[in-house]
Amino acid sequence: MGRLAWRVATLVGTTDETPTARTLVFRVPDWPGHLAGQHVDVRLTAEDGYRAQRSYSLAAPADGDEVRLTVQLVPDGEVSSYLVEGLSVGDPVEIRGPVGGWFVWRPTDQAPVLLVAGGSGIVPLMAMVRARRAAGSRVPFRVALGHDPHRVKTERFGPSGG
Amino acid sequence: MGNGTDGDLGQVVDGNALAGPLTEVFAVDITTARARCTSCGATGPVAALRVYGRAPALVARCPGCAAVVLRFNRTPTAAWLDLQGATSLHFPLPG
Ligand SMILES: Cc1cc2nc3c(=O)[nH]c(=O)nc-3n(C[C@H](O)[C@H](O)[C@H](O)COP(=O)(O)OP(=O)(O)OC[C@H]3O[C@@H](n4cnc5c(N)ncnc54)[C@H](O)[C@@H]3O)c2cc1C
Ligand SMILES: [Zn+2]
Repeated sequence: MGRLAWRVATLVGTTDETPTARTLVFRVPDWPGHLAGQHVDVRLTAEDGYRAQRSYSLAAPADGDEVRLTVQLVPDGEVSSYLVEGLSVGDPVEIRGPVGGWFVWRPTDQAPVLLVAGGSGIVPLMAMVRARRAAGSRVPFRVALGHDPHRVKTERFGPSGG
Repeated sequence: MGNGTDGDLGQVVDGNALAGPLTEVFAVDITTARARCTSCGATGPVAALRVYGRAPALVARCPGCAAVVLRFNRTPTAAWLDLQGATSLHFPLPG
């Protein structure tokens, strides 16, 4: 791996997922590709040089130079508020990655998968579900989602790719 | 993957947050290494530590006993890594 450079990523599109979360589509020249479950570090630099950096999961499988992140607004959150409410198409941010090898799913993985998440933890799981579908994999996936861990909802993605 | 709040300690995320910063100093992904906590002896992947603070200054604590396992700081000219709270790091590596 060695030293990873910061790359300039340009916002090319957005989709609102919920009133407080949006998916950001960035164009990152020469993006090396990534595995579902990996993330990037996003760095913002203010005009006075002040910098803030946070991690965001890659929300979809690798697709050329396109990188998708889904960001949940955190009340008073420094970086998430800018990414959800401040950033406009054409604006640049800096991105470093992909990183993280602990929580990844490879299309060649054959074992049944149980994915459990709350809140924005759903983002890397969606990347895995999308990667599974893109690969035509028939490995059973079971996904449990919840805002409130006491009221978890289970959704099954069966062998037919549903 | 996580983020949440943890009382007075503020925003906490999981050890995956260390992947990017530590890629600057390690040749392999440290988040897949197993760390042994000096304080309680528990072992687990670095990805499962609880990380406090904001990059570039990060403090990773044991999920079992809350002791500091690893501290990292990146200044404009250097990286500083304190592993006093980790007895060992065990890296899975292909032959
Ligand atoms: C591997 C990984 C993947 C992630 N993936 C995603 C993802 O896909 N989508 C996503 O939305 N998020 C993701 N996150 C979380 C993300 O990195 C940020 O933590 C999140 O966006 C909040 O950042 P922020 O700058 O908006 O909030 P911050 O400014 O960091 O603040 C968050 C909250 O903490 C409070 N706070 C701030 N500073 C302090 C302090 N010093 N003491 C006490 N409280 C304080 C604030 O008031 C606020 O309520 C991921 C995290 C990790 C580690
Ligand atoms: Zn411990």
